[in-house]
Amino acid sequence: MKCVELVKALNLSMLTPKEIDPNLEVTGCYCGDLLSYVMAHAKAGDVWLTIQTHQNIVAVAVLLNLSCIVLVENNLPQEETLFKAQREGIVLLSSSDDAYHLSGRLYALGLGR
Amino acid sequence: MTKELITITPDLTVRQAKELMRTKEISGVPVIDQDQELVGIISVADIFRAMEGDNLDAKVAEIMTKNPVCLSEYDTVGQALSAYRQYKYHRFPVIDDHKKLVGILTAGDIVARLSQLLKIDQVEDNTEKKGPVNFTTHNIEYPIPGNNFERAGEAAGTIKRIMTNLGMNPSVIRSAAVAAYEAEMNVVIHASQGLLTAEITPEAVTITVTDTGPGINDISQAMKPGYSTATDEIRKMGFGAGMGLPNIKKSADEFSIESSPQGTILVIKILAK
Repeated sequence: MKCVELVKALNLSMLTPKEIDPNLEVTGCYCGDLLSYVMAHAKAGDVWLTIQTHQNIVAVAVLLNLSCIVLVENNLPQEETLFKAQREGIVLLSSSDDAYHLSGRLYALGLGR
Repeated sequence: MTKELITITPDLTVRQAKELMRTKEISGVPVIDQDQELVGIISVADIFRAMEGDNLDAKVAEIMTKNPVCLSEYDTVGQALSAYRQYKYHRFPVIDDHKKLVGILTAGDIVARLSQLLKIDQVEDNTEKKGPVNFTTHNIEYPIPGNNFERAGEAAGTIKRIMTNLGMNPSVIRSAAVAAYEAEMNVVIHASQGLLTAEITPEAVTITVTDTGPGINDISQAMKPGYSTATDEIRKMGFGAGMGLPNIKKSADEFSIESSPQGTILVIKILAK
C-alpha cells in the first residue's frame, strides 16, 4: 500500500516531510526498539514502529531503505532526529497508539503474512 | 603528503638553514644524511632558540631535534591524525622501510585529505544516476570518533551509497550496510576512536574496522547472541543488544576478529555473488 494511504488509515501525524511522495510504497512492517534486531530483520519498504527517538534511527532507516518510521505512543523525535530525517529524506510519523495495536491495524490493512 | 621536499644536511650552519626557511617560506625542514636517511628535523622554534643563544653559526646537527616522530608511508590518514593529536607537531617526516625520507606530512595535508573524503561523500549524495556496473576498485576511508552518536552510521551510509550508485546487487548492499553499521556502532559504543576502510570491487566488498582499544576481553563470549557489555545508558537508546558481532558474522562471507587491549581489528568480506 502507499505510505499516504497508511497515514490516512491509521490517523498518523506527519512530522517530516510536509508532503509525502505519493508513490512511496509500504510493503511490510517491523516493530522493535533494539537497533541490532531492526538491522538484522527489518526489510526494505517496511514501516518501522519504535519508541526510540534519537537520530540514529534515521541512519538505520537509510541503511535498510525503510519506507517510513512511526514513533509510537506519542513519542516525539529529538530535534536532531527531525533535522537528520529531513536531510536524508526519511518519512517520520507519530501515533498516539502503542506498537501492539498499531501492528494489529497494519496487519488488518493487509501488511501481514 | 608533500613529495617534493626541501631538505638540508646536518653540516649546514643554522644561519644557512634560517635563510633557506625564510626564502622558501617554510616553517620546518627535515635533515638527512648522504644516504637520504632521516637524522633529524629543524623548526622555526629551534632557529629562534639558536638566535637567542647567539648560536647562528653552530651546525644544524647541534640544534636539530634528533630522532623525530615519523610516520611510515603505509600509515593511514587515521593513524596520521592520531599522531597529530597525540604529539601536536605540525609536520611529520614520512619514511620508507629503510628509514629513507619519502615525504613530509603537514596538518594541512591531513585536513585536505579529510575534506576530499567529505567531498566524495557530497558528490555521492547529489548524484542521481547509477554508476557503471563494471568498475575497478573503490576505496573508502572513514574515521569513526568514539562515543559520537551524532555521526554514528555515516561510515556505513557512505559504503551503502557508493555501492548503490555502482549498481551493485541489493542483497549484497544490505549485507555490507548491516555489517558496516554494527562494526561502526561497536567503535562508537566501546572504543575511543577507530577507522573504517572499505575496498569495493565488482567481486567483493572488504570492510576493515580498527580501533585503538580497550579491546574485547573474551571474543567467544562477545560472539554469543545477546551478550553485551554496554552500559544501561547505551541500552536505553536501543544499542548494546548483544547482536552486533553475531549480525556481522551472519552478513559476512568471511569474517575475522583480533583483539588486544591496544585495539580490535575486524575484517569483513562480502562476496558480490
